[in-house]
Amino acid sequence: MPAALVTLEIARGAPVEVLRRVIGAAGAGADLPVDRIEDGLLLGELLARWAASADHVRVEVVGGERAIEVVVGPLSEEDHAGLVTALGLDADDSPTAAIVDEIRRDGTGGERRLRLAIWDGAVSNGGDRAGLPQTTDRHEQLPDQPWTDDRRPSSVSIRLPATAESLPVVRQALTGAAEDLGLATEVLDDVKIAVSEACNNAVVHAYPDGATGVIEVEIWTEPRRLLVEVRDWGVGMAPRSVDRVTGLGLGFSLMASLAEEVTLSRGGGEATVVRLGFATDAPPMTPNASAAGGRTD
Amino acid sequence: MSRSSSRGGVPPPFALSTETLNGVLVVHVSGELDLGHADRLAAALEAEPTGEEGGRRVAIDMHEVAFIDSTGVRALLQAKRRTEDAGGVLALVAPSAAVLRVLQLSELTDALNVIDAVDAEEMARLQGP
Repeated sequence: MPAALVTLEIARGAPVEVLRRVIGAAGAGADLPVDRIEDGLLLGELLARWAASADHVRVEVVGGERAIEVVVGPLSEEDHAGLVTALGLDADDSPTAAIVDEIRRDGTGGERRLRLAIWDGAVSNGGDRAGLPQTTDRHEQLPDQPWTDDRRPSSVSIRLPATAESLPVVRQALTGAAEDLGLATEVLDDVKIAVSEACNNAVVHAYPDGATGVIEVEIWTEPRRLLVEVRDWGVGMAPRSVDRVTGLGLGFSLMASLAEEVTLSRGGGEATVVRLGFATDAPPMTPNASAAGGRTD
Repeated sequence: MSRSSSRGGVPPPFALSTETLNGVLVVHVSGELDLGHADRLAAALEAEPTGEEGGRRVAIDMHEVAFIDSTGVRALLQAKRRTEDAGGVLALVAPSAAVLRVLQLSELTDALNVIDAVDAEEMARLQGP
């Protein structure tokens, strides 16, 4: 299992800074040297800027031992062309070529993908490339839960393995969202704690020993509120909440005291859903409003 | 570029180290004391000698802990109980704002002896006669 394996779904108007943060966390998880992590953050920045003006973006980020791979798509021909231009891939002095080791274009028609890889220095200099993580392997590593149809407009969703290694990635995603939304540090700190507890619960209790599970975190805003839903497809919440041995009580009480709303429910595809609502003085989700072309939905 | 790449962008790395100062076992923890790292605390304490008769004095330096969750708090409580069961004393030194926030919400600030600095005399006082 790679150190990080994250799929992001970014709707128009969602906080795109999440993308940069998730790529940075994957690079750190892959133990890349600092300069390569910086390159990953720069790539995330270029992609985020493009994503802010795109309609709907799916990005997969894989961090392994010595590399990260970022796959954007599937894309329509038009979006693909826009991404190629945004990354300057057809230009002689492409900013992307300076920070990315490998660029591959896959697919045809409306199913185009762009794969971008950043390796550690030894690999870049001609070292052994065998065993580098590839997102093409992801379906063998993770059950592919269908995406729910009821995700909110202008939300960002991230899907990760239900493992302890995913938790720092989730917190980085929240930090990215907070940066885009202008959330106060105090609000972000509380959100990080409560969402971590919801994810802890899924990681520790949702999946029976040995099973590889998935958690999904969706982030969106409503007026004066930040909403986060944590979903898993494992054992339901009811049998979990009576598990006294592992002392879930502390995590639940933290969620209850930090969020103004905590709701447990059963969602589509038999998902267990923990919904957390936080009061915030930030305006409704309008990051990159200019890039989003003034849409008002 | 409108954004500077020098801004933060990666999770704070976890690190744990130990040293002995004036008879106090000091455990320095930095980064995120979360689900993925909480068991490192018990492992570090187990790896150290259990101390002289009367139990050892353990100070956990928490000033560089950027994040803690319930699993980290539980690890602290467990370490404290084990140390006290062996006749020793355990204190938290200079917890960061992130740690204090969680301790206060959990109403555990008093249960986990919080002190400002590694102070052998204060630890002896906490340990009692």
